[in-house]
Amino acid sequence: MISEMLVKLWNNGLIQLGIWETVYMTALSTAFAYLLGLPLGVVLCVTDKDGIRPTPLVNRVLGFVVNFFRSIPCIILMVAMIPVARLILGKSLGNGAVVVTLVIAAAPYVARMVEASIKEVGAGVIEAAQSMGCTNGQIVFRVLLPEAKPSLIHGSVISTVTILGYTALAATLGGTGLGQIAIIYGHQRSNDDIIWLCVFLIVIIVQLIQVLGTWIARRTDKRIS
Amino acid sequence: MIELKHLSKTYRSAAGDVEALKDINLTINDGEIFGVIGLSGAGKSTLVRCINLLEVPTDGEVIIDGRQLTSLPKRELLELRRSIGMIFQSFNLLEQRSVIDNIAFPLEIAGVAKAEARKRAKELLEVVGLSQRENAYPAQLSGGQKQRVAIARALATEPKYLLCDEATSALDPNTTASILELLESINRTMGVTIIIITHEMKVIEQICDRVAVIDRSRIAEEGTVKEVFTNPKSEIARELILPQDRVALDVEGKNRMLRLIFNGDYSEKPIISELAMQCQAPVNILFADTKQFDGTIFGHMIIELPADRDLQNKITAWLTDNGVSWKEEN
Repeated sequence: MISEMLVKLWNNGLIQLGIWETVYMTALSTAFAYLLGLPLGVVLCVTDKDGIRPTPLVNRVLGFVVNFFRSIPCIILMVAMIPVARLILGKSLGNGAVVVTLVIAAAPYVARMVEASIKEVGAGVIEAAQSMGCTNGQIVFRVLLPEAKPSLIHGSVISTVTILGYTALAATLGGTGLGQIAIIYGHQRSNDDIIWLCVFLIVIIVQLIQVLGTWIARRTDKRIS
Repeated sequence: MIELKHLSKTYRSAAGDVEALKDINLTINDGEIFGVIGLSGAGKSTLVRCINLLEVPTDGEVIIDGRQLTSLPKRELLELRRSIGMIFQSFNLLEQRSVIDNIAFPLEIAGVAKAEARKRAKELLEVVGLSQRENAYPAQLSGGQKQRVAIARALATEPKYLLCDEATSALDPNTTASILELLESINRTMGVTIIIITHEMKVIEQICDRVAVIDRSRIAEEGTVKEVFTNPKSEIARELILPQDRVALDVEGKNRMLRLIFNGDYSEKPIISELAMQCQAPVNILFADTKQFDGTIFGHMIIELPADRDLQNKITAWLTDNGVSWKEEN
């Protein structure tokens, strides 16, 4: 049975809007999370004791910060970050605030993903680059990142899906999107079909991201073709 | 000229210090092919990495063309590394770059314009005989081809020296021979001084002018390949060059068997045929691993003697009289 509420939401275009809001919050948060997480991951790698510029102090401090944020359950972190969102945006509710908190929650996660990808680049290749007289900057930008690219893309797919999951929690902060529709119109008003529709739509979006990301990663990876 | 003076390297760790190199003194002259041979763990990889300071020695000096490497500022060291090419056992190509872009890579790093870098890369592809594969990716190449690309890449910046760290150890014998030929021709035609690290005797034999034998972090002996091969002084050199008893133990014969050992003391005479003729006895060769080096025979051979006791005694006496070392094999 399809509930009246579902028909109403659909006819008002609220479901469609929800899809869009989920997609753009995910995209925006992922982009900003990478803006922070990518350099952070690179620094974690470079300063590692086996890295190209071992710096134990920096590595330990950053590692601690990353682990600290990663160990807080996302929903609690998001609530805790409300004041930070207010500081940055001047408001503590709405999708802007959601993006800010999502970025802070996701960046440490992204940093670890990036770190893992870069560590896949063989020590021998780095040594070869050093033997050619590469500076550390050249090693990062011309060896580590390009060589890790397919793995970085795979990682970004996983990160994006995780962040998509986080957006569903964003309803707590007054964020909109499919998560909010599922909670407010589905759960709170006992319309199971709305919940299931939202689940279905999210599954579709995740599948699309996964397929697209994997396709791009494979296409760019010169080790396969 | 590369000079290593009192070079030492100690790895410090919580589990204790490991001395990888102890008081190494070597001089490598311009234009030669210099080999360093040793068993694994002897310190040879550390040694070659000290030459371009990929490993910083704990003590001693590395002097290249009169310049003390350990006291060079970082920027000058990076610049100097461009005059020292290096190739590796595992090739270490950039997997996401095509063959031509791999070869152009060190030039890009050195700030050479892209078009010029590609032009030079194409020339080098020709030198290593891979012109048709310029747009291939490393994953599509065989081991030998990968090493050729690595050699071309190492030569891109026109280095004076080429360091080869176990460069043929991952290759089959035929490919090894062709890579060694390529290295030799690079040495002869371009005048590149080559330093080869290996555990394979045949590599040294085939192309090196001089050799240093490294054992337990120290240089055990050093000299021209001829000197070291014909008259190995250290125990380790003997072990590496001379016949080893532990090989070929599965040989089976019905009668008494002897192992003849040629340590280079014995040469010229065709001993088996003389033995057969003078003792009037047929001997059966069950196994032989000998090689001639500069007119001298090295190796060992297992022969089966005839059943007749008297003939056997005659043969062993003849061997002893003629200075051939032998021992019972059964």
